[in-house]
Amino acid sequence: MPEQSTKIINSFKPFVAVLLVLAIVAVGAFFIFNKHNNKRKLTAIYEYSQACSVISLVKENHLLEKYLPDDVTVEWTMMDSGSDRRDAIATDRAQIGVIENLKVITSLENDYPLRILANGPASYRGIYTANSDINSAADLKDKKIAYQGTGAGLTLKKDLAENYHINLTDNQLLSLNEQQLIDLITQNQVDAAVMTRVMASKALQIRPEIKMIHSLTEETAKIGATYWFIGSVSYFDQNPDLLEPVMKAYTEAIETINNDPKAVAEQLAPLFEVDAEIIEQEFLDFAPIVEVYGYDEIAEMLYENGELEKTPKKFSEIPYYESIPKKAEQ
Amino acid sequence: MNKVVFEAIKICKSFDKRRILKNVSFRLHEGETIAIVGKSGCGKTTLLRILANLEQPDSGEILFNNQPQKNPTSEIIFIQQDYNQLLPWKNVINNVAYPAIATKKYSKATAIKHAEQLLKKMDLAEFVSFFPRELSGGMKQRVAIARALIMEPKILLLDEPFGAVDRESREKAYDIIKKLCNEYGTAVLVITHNLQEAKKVARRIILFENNNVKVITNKELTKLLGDQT
Amino acid sequence: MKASQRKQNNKLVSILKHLTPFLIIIAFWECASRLGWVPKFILPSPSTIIVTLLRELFTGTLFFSIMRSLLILILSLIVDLIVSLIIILACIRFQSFKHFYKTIATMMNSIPSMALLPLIIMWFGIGDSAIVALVTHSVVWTFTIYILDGINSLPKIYQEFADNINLDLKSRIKDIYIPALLPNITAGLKVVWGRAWRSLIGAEVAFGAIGAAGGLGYYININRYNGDMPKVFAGIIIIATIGLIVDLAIFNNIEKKMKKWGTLHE
Repeated sequence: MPEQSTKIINSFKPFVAVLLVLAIVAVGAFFIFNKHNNKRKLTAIYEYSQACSVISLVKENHLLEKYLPDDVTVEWTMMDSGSDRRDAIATDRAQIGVIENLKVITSLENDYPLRILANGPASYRGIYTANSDINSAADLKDKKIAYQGTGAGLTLKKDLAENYHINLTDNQLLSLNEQQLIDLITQNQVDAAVMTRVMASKALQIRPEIKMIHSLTEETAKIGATYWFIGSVSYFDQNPDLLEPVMKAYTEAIETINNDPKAVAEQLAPLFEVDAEIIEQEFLDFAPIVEVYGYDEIAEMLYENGELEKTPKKFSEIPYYESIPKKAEQ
Repeated sequence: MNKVVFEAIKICKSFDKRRILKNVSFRLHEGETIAIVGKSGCGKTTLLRILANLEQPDSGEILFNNQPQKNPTSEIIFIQQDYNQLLPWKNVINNVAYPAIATKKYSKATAIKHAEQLLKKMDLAEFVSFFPRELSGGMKQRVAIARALIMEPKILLLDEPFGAVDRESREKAYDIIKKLCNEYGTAVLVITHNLQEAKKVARRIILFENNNVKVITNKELTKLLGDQT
Repeated sequence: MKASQRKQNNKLVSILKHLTPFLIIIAFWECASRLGWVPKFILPSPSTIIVTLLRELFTGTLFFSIMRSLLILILSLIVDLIVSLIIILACIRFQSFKHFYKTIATMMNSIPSMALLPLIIMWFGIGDSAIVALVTHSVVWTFTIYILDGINSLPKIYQEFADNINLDLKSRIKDIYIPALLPNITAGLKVVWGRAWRSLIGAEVAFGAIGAAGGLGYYININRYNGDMPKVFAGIIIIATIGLIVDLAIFNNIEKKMKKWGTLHE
C-alpha cells in the first residue's frame, strides 16, 4: 500500500477509537436507563383490513388505554403480513395481534409460543375476475388464481373440486398478501383472485370491470371464523394481570360492533378506504364473537390436505386451553 | 550477393512533433543478418515495428520481394523485447506449434514434430511440457524465436531479445539462431545495444548516431571501434 | 512411515483442522438447543435440521424445489451470456455505443433487483419470464463491464502476435482472447453467480410463489409461513451448499489452471 495512504489511514485511527468508545457508552447508558425504567409496554399489531376490524376498533377507541393500568404504555405497529405478525408475537417483539387460524394451528404444531386469546372476525370470500372471458367458476380450469391466506387457498381448492370437478394444480395458485393480490388482479397478471368484500371494493376502485363469479361463503362458513386473537406466551406469563384488561378491551370492541355495526362501519370506512356499507355487510354476515370454535375441524382439514405432517393436537391439548373463551360444545 | 528480399525506402516517423526516424533507407538480402545499434529512445524499436507493419510510417515505403508491403505478414515475424509474449495457457511445445496449426500451415501432428525439432536445436528439448511461467527470460525468448521459425519466415525482426540475459547465454543463443536462420534462409534484423555483439552477429550494421542513421559494414564498424579505443 | 502414508496423514490433519471450528460450533449449538437456551422455533437443533433435510431431500418437495431453482437459474444464465456477448461485440464494433453503454450499465448496476421487481412483474407478468428478467438485470450489467475492462487491458502483445501471423477472427477469439480474458470472465462469473442466485431466491421469497411450483425461495417462504423452521433451515443449508459446490467444482478448478499458467489475478 502506498505510504501516503497508510499515513491517511493511521491519522483516522484516533477518531475511530473515540467514536467506538462513545458508541459503547451510549449503548450501555440506553440499557441501564431501560432497566431502571419502571413503565411496562404493550405492543399491539394492527392492519386496516377486515381481518383486523375488531382490533382496529380497539385502537381507534383507545380501549386498551381505557382498561390497562397506568404503568402500561401501548404502542401500535402496523403489519400486513400474517407470518410477520406471528413471528413478532412468538418472539415477544409484539404482544397481541390477529392471525389467520390455519397459520396459528400449524405454528402451534411447530411449538411456536402463541396463546389463543379469543375468536377473530370471519369474512365473506368470493372469486373475482377482471377477465371478460371468465364468467363462472367453471371457466377457471387452467387459469391462474391468486389468494391470500392458507384458508382461502384450501377453501378455493375444495369448492372447485367438489362443485366443478376442477382440480387446481400448484402451478395455478399464487399465495400473496392483500396489496400484491389487488395489484395483480387489477393489472391482469392473474386470471382471478379470491377476495374479501373489502379487498374487492379496493380493486373495483381501480378496475370497475372486476366482477364476482362465485361465492365461497358456504365453504368458508364450514371452516368458521378465519382469524384468531393471539397473545404472547412469555409476556402474559410475566404480566398475568394484563390479560383481563386486554380481554375487556377486545370484548368491548366486539360488543360495540354488534350493537351498532353501521356506526362502526362508518368509523372504519375512511381507514379501510372502502364504503361503509361493505364493512357493515361483513359485520352482518359474520357477527364477531369472543368464543373460539372449530379448532379440531380445521386442524383435521389441514392434516388431510397434507399441510400437517403428523396428527395434530386436539384443542383441549393446546397450551392455555383453559383460559380460552369457548363455545358451549367445545 | 543474394537477392534483395526486403527494402526500406526513406522511412520517416514522428511522435508528438518529435522526429524519430528521418529518411531511413536500407536493403536486406536473403539470409543476411543486419544489426541495428543505437542509444535508448533513438527509434530502433519504432523502425522494427514499422518494418513488421505493426505501425505505419508517416512517409516512405517498404518493399518485400519488390512488392509494397502495407500489412503484417507471417513471412516477416517480429520478436518483441517483452519476455511475456508467449501464450501463458499453452505449454512450450504447443506455443511453438500454435502458429503453424492455427494458420493451417501444417497439420497438428506435423507441427508438433517440427516444433520438437526446433526446440531440440534451441537446446530446450527437456522443457517441452513446461509452461512459460516456469521458464527463465532467456528461455522464453528462445521459445518465441522457435515459434517464429516454425513459420519459416523470410525475415525475422528481433528487438533486443536477450537484453537481460548474461553474456555467455546470449552468445550461445545467437549462435543457435544464426545456425537456424542459415538453415531456413531467413534474413535477420536484430536490435542490440552492444557494438561488439553487433560485430559478431551481423555483416552490416544500421547505426543510429546523433539523429542520423547510416548503414555501415562490419569492417567499417571494426575500424570505428578501433578508433574509439 | 512411508512418504505416501505421511502425505495422507498430513491431508487428514489438514481436513480436521479446517473442520474443527465448525464441529465445535455445531456441538455448542446442539447443546444450546437441547438445554433450551434458545427456543427451538427460533433455532432448531442441528440434529433436527439434518434429519429434516435428509427426509425432505428423499421423500419431500425439497429435491424438486432445488431442481426448479437450478433449472431457472441455468436458463437465465444462458440467456444472460448470450445477451452479454451481443453487447460486448457491439461495444467492440462501435466505440460510441461502448461509451453510452458503460454509463447506462454503471447506473443500472446500482439499482437492487428487488427495487425493480414491481416493474418487472408489470412488464413480464408473473412467471418464469419475470425471474429471468430479474436475474438478467443482476447479471448482465456487471458481467459486461468485467469483460469490457478485461478487453481494454488485454496485453497488446498478444494482439500484435495475432496480427503478425494473420490469425483469423475465430482463432483469435478461441485461442487468444478467451484464455487471456479468463481471469476477468472467472471473476465476473463469480460475482454474477452470487448476484443471480440472490436475485432468484429473493424473488421467490418476496413474491411468495412466482409460479407456485416454486423453487428454493418459495420452499423457504412457505415453510416459514407454516412455522416449520427446520425446513426453513434445510432450505438455507441447501442454498449455501450449492454455492460451495459451484465454487469448488467450477471456479476452483478454473483458478487452479490459471495459477498454473500464471494468469490468476490475486
